Amino acid sequence: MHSFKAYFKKEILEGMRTYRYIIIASVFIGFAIFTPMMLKMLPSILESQGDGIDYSQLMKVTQTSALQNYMGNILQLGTLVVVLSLMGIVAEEVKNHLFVMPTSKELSFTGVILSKGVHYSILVSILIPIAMTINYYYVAMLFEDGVVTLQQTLSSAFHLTCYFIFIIHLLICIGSYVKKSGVVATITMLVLLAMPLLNKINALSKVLPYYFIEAATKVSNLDSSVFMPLLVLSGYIVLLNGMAIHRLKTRELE
Amino acid sequence: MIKVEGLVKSYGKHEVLKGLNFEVKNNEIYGFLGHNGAGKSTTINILTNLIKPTKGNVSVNGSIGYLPEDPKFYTYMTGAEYLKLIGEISGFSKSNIATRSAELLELVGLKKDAKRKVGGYSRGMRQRLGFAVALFNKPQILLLDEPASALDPEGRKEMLDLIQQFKNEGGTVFLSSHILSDLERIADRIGILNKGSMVLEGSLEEIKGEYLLPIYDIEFENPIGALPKRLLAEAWVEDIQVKGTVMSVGISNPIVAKTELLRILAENNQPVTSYQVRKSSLEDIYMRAVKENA
Repeated sequence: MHSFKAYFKKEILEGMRTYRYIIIASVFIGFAIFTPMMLKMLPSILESQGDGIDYSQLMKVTQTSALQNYMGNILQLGTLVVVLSLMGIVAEEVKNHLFVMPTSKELSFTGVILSKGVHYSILVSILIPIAMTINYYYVAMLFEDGVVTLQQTLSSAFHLTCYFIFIIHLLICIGSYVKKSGVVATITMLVLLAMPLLNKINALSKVLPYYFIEAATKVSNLDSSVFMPLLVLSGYIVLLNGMAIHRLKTRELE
Repeated sequence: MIKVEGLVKSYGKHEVLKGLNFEVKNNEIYGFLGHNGAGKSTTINILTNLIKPTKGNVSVNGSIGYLPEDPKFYTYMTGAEYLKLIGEISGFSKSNIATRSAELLELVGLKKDAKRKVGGYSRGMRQRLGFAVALFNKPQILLLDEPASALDPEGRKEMLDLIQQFKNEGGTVFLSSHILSDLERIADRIGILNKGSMVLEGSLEEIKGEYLLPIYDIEFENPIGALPKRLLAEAWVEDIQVKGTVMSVGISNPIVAKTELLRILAENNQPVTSYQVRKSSLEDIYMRAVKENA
């Protein structure tokens, strides 16, 4: 418990001092504000090219499609930013021998891994709903068709949060095995990119975290069908954390 | 306090430690001497449980404080914040952490730099902070890997004084160093490591008594020529070191050497500008021990 508390506070300090919070928040919130604005302005921008086409009739943007557009941006650029920002949260500490001195004070790797997982899970659990709510505000203000409720928006936020929590624990696990952050990021991205392909296999689609992306982009209320995927996600988190803890306990840290 | 039996450590086919045996008694300073790459850091890392031995038994009875050769810290933290992290990991209360941190920062001379980020510390300052970390939980045993290597002469003296003070307060110290004069100053017992094997071990008095032999430093006016080769043929000559026009002759039989050396120098007919006798230092003993076991 001591190690968990100590490292949880350390992660907060690190997030502030290395500007990680600002970087991740600025991407999520920045896109939340600018995506609907750009969608609104896009027909005018295209019309100003002077080819005489009325793009406002061709591009009918509804509240639903605007929200989906934002989620698309987050799932691409947001994922990249999260992976690049967090690729070293374990790998760099192992590579730079930062666990050596704390280990001599009986540091618990269970506490370390759990603190990192919990800390960044809380971060995305706060950030994504806030960003989605901001996006909803602008979407509701700028677009009239295809009305979306706040409840539906927060339901999508919940699904996205689950997906990003999976990414965080995946990064932590891979970082326990691989010392180079770049390799951690590459392996993580390959796993995430493989998921849409694997999702096409019926048997696998029920157990992949990709479910959360599909559920988020539906922009509908939460229902009981989320329980099974949540259970599977919990299983993934336990497995990934277990593997990470085991690896750190058994590897040589000199 | 520390007992090591048959310690072997291999990385693939490369055997770094080849069956070490040694014991560190309670309340002593054990100096572990060896070249870079001899296996000193590997031994200490095994004692701290950072790495596992390939074979052998290691027993460390007591709480430990460890200072690695190049201590690493979170560079975005200040010295005070890092000690706070260590205190929290060790389960200290908030007030105890504050008190202990202030005490240790004062002790290691980092009080005025406590609020500076570790990223801005010099190597010597990081070494001091590392020493403070090692002492934080008031350990019974200190495992120090080259504790004074990054320090200036004044810092080295202060570090050695701190180590001596720790011993005077009842602690046990196992320290590795390649700075022989440091070990000569504070160590009670010495173990000399060469290529993964212990080549010599004993108290400083025992080693000096057995291995301390006179060395004749002779300075010539002109280049020395073939004289070293001539002298090495004598049974009473242990070894010869030549640096420029100065020849240092290590003697195994001082009684014979007193007369024979002068006779041979006279026969050589080369002008001598200086002729001095000195006792061999730990460095000379070390060089001899390593050479004998090469």
